Amino acid sequence: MLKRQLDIQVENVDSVAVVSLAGAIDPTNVDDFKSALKPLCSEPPAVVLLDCGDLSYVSSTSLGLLFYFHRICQASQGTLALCCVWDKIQNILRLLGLDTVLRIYKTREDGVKSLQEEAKKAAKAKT
Amino acid sequence: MKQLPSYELHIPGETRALALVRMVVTSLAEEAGMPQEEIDKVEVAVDEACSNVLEHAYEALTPRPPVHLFIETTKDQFVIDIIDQGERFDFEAHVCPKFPDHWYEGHTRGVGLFLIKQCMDSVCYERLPDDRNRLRLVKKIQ
Repeated sequence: MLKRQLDIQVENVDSVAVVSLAGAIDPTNVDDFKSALKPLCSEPPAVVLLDCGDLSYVSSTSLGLLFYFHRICQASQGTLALCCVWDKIQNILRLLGLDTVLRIYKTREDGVKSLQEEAKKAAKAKT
Repeated sequence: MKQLPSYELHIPGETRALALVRMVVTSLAEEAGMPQEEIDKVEVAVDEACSNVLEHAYEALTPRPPVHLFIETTKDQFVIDIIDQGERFDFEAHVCPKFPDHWYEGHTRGVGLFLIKQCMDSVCYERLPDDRNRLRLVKKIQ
């Protein structure tokens, strides 16, 4: 009863891996978050969009993971970006300088559209 | 402002209690009349403080002892005391990292305490005479 659930849904939208996060990421489920992102970010070209529209809380550990996976994606000419981020989470990202590191889109549509271009470029570079 | 009661919360030394702590603290901050942005900051600070106790202060302890929280609203302050039975922490030695440099340098430690300090108006740490540790978090109420 005390455990806040984290729901993670992954779908492929024209070469962009869109990860919908719902609930809260804290030490009880940060490993689930890590396990979900690892395969998506490890297979180049990794173009990943985290839809945070239903994400109400993130702990500092998960923010460290965001930076880690951002670097993994970047190393393969890919991208890790966020969209639909709540103000309260935006404020934490700002405090930790992650707003200058990660791309953050207002809407899922904006993110997918922009990242599809990235995915095409990354796929082309790979071939 | 009406006088609000103080609350005492004893939680098991387990991460699954964190969601409950966040829920209780945000409810009480709301009751104290704080604006949403400040409530959000209190939520972060208390969650990170309790996480630090469980992850670091209780790292070598099995089973992990409970954590005690005392929450009090005065006419101009919202005060949360987090009391643990773990190892003493060298609070004075903590230097606030610079972000995002901290990430690029490969560091992961110290982020929680940085957030706590950023989110609260006052943070102090004390070793109590009974060998417990108390982290006092204070948020001013406008």
